[in-house]
Amino acid sequence: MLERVLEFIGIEPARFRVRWVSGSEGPRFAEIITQMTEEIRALGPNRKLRDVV
Amino acid sequence: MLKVKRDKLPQVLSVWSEEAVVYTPQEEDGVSTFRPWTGQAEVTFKPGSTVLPPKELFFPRTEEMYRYRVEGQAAFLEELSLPQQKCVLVGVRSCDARSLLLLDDVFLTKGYVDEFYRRRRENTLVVALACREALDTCFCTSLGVDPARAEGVDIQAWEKDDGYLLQATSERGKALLDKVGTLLTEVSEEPPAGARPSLEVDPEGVTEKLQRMFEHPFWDDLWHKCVGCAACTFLCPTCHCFDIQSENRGNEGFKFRCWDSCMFAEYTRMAGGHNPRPTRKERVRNRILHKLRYFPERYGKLGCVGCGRCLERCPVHMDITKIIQAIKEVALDG
Amino acid sequence: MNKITERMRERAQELLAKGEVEWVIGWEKGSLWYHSSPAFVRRPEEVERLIWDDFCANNLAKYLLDFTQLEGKVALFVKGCDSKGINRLLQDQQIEREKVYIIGITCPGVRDARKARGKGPEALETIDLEERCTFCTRPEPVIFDEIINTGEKLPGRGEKEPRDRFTEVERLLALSPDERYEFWAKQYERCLRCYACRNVCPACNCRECIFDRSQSGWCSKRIVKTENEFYGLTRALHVAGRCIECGECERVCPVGIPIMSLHRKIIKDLNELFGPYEAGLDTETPPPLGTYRTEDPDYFV
Repeated sequence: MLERVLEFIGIEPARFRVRWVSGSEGPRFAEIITQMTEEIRALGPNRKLRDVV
Repeated sequence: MLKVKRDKLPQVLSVWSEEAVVYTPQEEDGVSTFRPWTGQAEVTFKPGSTVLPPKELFFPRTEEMYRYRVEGQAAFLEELSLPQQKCVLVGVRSCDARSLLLLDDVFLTKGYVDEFYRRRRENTLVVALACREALDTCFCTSLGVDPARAEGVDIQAWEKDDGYLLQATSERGKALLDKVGTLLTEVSEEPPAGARPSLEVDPEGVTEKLQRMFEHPFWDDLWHKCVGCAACTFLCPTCHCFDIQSENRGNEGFKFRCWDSCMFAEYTRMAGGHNPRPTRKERVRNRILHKLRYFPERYGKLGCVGCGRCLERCPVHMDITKIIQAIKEVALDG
Repeated sequence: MNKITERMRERAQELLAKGEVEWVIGWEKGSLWYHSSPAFVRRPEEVERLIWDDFCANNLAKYLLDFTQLEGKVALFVKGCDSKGINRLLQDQQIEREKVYIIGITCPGVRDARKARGKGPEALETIDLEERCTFCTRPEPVIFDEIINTGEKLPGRGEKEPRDRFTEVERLLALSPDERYEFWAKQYERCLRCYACRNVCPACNCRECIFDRSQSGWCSKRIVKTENEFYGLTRALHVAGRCIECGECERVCPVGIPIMSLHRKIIKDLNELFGPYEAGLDTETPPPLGTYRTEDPDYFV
């Protein structure tokens, strides 16, 4: 739901991900995070919903 | 009396814009507020006051006060520069003009001067515009406000079908008119009378009455319909309460103030959890007492200007004119 | 006096005179002809204040939270949409059914008071209905102890298809992510954080809201665009699957933020992901996000 709402307010859905990883699935965890990091790097820095300080 | 033709008004604003940001009432998504004029050829003034009052230009909803950072054992404070921007506020109605005088009392008198407010106030010239038409919720005349002549402004304007009559009411206002002298003509027209609102209430004696009513059962019934939001206080041109908090980002942070409302439970909640105004009853009572008793006791005038914003935008139409009337009708012993 | 008003006063009078209830919650007239306002009556001789007219938009259900400590009963009048608010509070275990006496009104529809500004009472017939009424499928309350049904219906009530209420959501979905971001950022930039939307919402029934604990560190009291958006999103997600679509949040917003577009987007998604569901129709069907079924979407596993 959150993913869809974020998309609705204009946040690229690739920036948010929910995956179920068990504590014993270390390699799977590393794989998902690596993949997501690469995808986000490709998207560039997020300018949306940034803290206005 | 001086007059500017309707089609010349943008030129006037343009000249003023050379040295200041000119604010005019503008509507977006159905909500009107004062925004910087950016050269629009069409300058219109809808009847009545803007949805959001001009207080924000002097007392922003959120404002940073100073910054700090920590390096090892040392702490550093960083003062922020005070507001410098010169502004001209065009189209302020008499009710809102009065509200600025009331805010002046709060922020500039009784021994404490709020520098942020003072700077903005000093940097801003106010051009008032008389009301030709009242809104259904206006009741300014009940508070002694003259819809055709504002108090404490620099220029008073009156709208006519073909233009605006202008009269300087301060030295600075005169200088502002002199700057656009070539765009103005001298006319012998009389300023029109102001629109008289149909909603009326007589607040005479309400302060004295309230001085004897703090514990009165009147308050037991009044609060029920109030939903406890802050629409009334945030839209009120004279409500001025704020909270000060800080936020940290790693080793640095900042202090800020933001609007706060006596309608919120958090407003009076103390460390440890005690709340002297535990329910909406006490909070509603406080709002009414602040406007109609505490403010007059401290500054000698009522804290309401009759703009009607609160009763218009209140989710349940809590109506201060009805409340004033009801207070007057309360029977007190002795 | 119209028939609904007549019947309301009659019943309120009887209930109070017999001591069956301690309070009656209804509507009364405000200063302006198009302002109707919640009314609280506790003496039989006060029932003359009660009215029904085309502007009785306020959903009174939420007020029941103010009477949970009362020993006796409270009677209140509910329209079709309001009655779903009662079910909301019952299902969320905020009120006790036996302490509430519900007088349903089969609702003819209510008009949009904002559109009456500046007009006289002679313009009544020309004033549009509240948007929610044009989609109304349930003018008759879904829960009540007795009902007032005069068979009246204002032109336009329920004339639009229920799915048409997603038109604005679909318009926004057709925009690019950047355009959507700009749209919502502009809307929430206006937000005053007055919390009117939260305070009128029957689904916002937390004893204490996180946004009333500004020093918790989770949210900021700064009234700035992003913090306001965070508030709007948090509330929308918190009422996800529980929103009864009474539309009160959007109606009372003093700065006109289209809050229901956010809520309707969620409702649309819930219907797609978890099957059709209408919150507040009864107290038994569990809300889609409040229960687990093996067929729930689980793409993330």
